[in-house]
Amino acid sequence: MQAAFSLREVVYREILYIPSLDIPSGLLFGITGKSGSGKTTLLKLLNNLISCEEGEVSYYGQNVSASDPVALRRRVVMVPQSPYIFPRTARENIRLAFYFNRKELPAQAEMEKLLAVLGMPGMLDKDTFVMSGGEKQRLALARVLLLDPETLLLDEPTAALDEENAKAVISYLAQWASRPGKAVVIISHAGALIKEHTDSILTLSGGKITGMNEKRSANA
Amino acid sequence: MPDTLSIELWRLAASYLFLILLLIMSLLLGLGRGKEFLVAAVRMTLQLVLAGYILELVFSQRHILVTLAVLLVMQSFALVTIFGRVKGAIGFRLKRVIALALFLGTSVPLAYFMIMVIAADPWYEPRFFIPIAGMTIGNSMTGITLGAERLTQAFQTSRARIEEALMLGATPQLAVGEFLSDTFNAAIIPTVNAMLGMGIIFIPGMMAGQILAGASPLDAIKYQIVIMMGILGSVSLAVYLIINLGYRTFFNQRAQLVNNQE
Repeated sequence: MQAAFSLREVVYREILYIPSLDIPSGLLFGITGKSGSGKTTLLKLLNNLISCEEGEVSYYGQNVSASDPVALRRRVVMVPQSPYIFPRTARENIRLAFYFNRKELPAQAEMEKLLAVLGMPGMLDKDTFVMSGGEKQRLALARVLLLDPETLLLDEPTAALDEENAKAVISYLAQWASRPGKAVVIISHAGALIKEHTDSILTLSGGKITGMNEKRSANA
Repeated sequence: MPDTLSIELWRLAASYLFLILLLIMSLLLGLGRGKEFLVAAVRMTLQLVLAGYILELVFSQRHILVTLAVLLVMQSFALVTIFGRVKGAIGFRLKRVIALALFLGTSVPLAYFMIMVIAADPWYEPRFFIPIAGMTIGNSMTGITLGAERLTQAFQTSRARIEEALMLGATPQLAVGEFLSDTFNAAIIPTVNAMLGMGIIFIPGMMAGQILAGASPLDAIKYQIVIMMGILGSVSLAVYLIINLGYRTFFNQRAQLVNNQE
């Protein structure tokens, strides 16, 4: 089993302490824990939005601190808990994501198809100003799924969704993660749903690992 | 009619009648700000008297080091004023950028101006050098203050937007691109507006001064035009430096947002 991320003796302020953790590729890796347990900090470390003070985070064997931070973020894209939605339309949001990521914009059909999968058919030119919280959250997901990076880091991606939409999103993500060379790390409170679809669940408490539930590994 | 207008001391004193009028109005309106107006007038008088004597001294010296020392003093005062005027806390790294923008942004256009446009002999002739330096520094100071303030505000109010762009794979420059052009525009607009209204809406102080001192209006406008160009050059360069070096102070080498107040 190849690890996408390996963390060794990682310390970040008083917030997080992880002696050893491997996050495998090819599956959906869940993180749970109460507020303030260090979940978001962990995701930011993986995205290189912050750097650990001690220890090492590596991505496919390469030390994150020693690699080009922007190049890494183009391979490992993060969606925060309250993603910022740019003004104007869904299309404009997708265009900006590709502009920032320095990638060619996909065909319109591809954008429309993905929005439909996420339960937003025909909303490509909908004004973001009138979108609901759930629509904004799915738009943030659509932006990064279209970018098709190697790894997705998602902080509570279903928090604003109803049960039906949350189910559709999680099962789509599980499918997405199972493709070769892909990995998804997801923070979620959606207990049963996340248990059903994730392959491993890490539990954090007070910045420390208190549980690790591995159902199956990628190549098992 | 004499070529130059010299004001006798008692007539100078007569001009203070307007201050007395203001003090009476303040009293009648119950503003309670008479002391403030008085302090402002006294400060203006003392500062100008002091400046007059210093300039007399500097003009009589005509020494390159004396002239450059005056330039440095003016720039330093401008720097302290900028630090005081920018709303919100500014970090040490941004202060360094502000200082660099002010010193480079005013010195380089000034040197070009003295050598190429005015062609003064010697190039540091204090009678030309110091008033022109004063006008360029004064205007750049406003541009830099606006630029630094806008930049700081953008990082305070749009942190989520900038961070989102970083998460999507943007370089710091891409993430803040929109704010940089907004900041440049906002900082340069007062200078551009001044050019638009010049000669129609108002007769600039320098031109008015020259005409009062006996120069022909046609000579006065030539000076005014070149001065405006000098000011434009200086403000643009200073603001360009502020935004292009300034935004970097909000990121570390890992392309991560940092708290600039640190």
